Amino acid sequence: MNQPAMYNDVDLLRRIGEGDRQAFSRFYDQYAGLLFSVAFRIINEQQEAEDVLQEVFGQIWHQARTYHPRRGRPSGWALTLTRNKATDYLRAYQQGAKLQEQASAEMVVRSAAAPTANALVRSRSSTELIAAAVAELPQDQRKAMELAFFTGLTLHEISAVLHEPVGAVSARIRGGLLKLRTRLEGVA
Amino acid sequence: MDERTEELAGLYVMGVLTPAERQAFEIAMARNPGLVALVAGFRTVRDAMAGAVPPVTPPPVLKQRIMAQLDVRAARKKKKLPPAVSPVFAWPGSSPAAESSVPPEATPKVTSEPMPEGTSESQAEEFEPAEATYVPPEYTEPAQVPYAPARARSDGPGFLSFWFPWAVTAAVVVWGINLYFDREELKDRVFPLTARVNRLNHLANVLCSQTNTLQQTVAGLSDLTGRVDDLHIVLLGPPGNDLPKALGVSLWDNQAQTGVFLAQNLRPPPPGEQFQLWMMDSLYPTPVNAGVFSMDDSGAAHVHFKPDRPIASVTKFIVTMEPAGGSATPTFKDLVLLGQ
Repeated sequence: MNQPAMYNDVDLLRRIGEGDRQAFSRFYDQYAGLLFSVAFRIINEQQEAEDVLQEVFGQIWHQARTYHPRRGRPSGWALTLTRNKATDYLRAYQQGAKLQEQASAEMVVRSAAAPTANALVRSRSSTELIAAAVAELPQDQRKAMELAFFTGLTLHEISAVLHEPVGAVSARIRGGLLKLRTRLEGVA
Repeated sequence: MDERTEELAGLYVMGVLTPAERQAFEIAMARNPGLVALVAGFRTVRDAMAGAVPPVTPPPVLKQRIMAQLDVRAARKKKKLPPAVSPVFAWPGSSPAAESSVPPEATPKVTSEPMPEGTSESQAEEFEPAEATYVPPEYTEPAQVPYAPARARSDGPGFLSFWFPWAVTAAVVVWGINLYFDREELKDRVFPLTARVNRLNHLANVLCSQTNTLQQTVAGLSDLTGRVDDLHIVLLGPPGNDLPKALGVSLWDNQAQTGVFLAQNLRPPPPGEQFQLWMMDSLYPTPVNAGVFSMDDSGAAHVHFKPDRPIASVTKFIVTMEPAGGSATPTFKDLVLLGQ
């Protein structure tokens, strides 16, 4: 993402913090697709993902003034809100570890060819590059990263699901992030 | 940067550290700009990974719902209690002049500042608007007041009796206001839950309705199954070889005590005569009349029949040629079709 876009998003959040409904509407149009996709990816239920998105945008409306660029991009901030809310939902409503394990077992590496259209990724080609980069990660690294981000499991729970020591899981997440960072330089 | 620190940065960004670990990492991060940069890079990667999930479009109505929720909250905000204290509950001597007489240095100052560096994401998400930082007034030595027991003061026992009701009133008012805002906050929390409950209720109603429909269908099918047990299909053919192509089918519903008879390739009856259908039941010594019928030009017949007497269990169907208008008992002079 280029810098001017980031500043625009920051400005949007600032205006939302001041109670600007138009800015909120624009922020929604820009990120609802991405945030909903992530919520749906985590929960896998349309209706519940809608509830999560509704609550997340409620949080954005109320907490926009607490956002500071030091905490990362606005999209990242909103993503974190969504991820946390969705994983909270998973914990609360999907009866804990059993369903989470089931969800993790259903983790499927999405096709690199699957197109995405969201505000975070500005062009189709970059989306495909990112998807391809994720798909090209070694399976153990990818799975550890996906379990960490999309299921809300703790490190120890991931370790139990993968039947791997905690240290190995940490190393895989680190390895995956470093590899992706190298591959995505100049893309994301 | 060592591997362990990089691992912690990765776990921090992916949100899998425990609260204590997260706090410790944030303290370390506040002291290490290199760590801040590493975390920023990892965040970008994490966001990109999240951005590569298969796209699912939220329904357009969701935006309307969210915008409407803002309206509801704004309306609630407008309804909140005014900050000014009503004169009824005003403290003695608390006139605007008295308020303005409070020295400015006694009022806490507020200044705007950004979030501290080390604030965690989860904390920040739950963090209430923190635009104001409390700066206490400068401390000054209190004036020396000689100690005197309460009873020895100039206001004496009247002091308590004067202030106590006001103190109680103020406590009740503060308590009431707290309750009010708590209730508003609860309303905000309950709102999405209520919506969810309503949807679940709706779903339950739909499922209940579908269950009823299914039960009705099953009952209908069971009924039909019972009816099928009571249905008898009998093929009738000519007893001799004089009309080999003649054919009849009788469908008998024992429960309804009615039936349908179809026949083909019949030969036209002689003048003054008519086909008559009979049913045989062991209850009766003679065949039971099921009615007379005629054929069309192609030699076919199609009749709905109902016997003269109740049938317990049909054993045979017979078609005979009888004098026009039918007979009380079959003559068997010309047996046309027979089936059992």
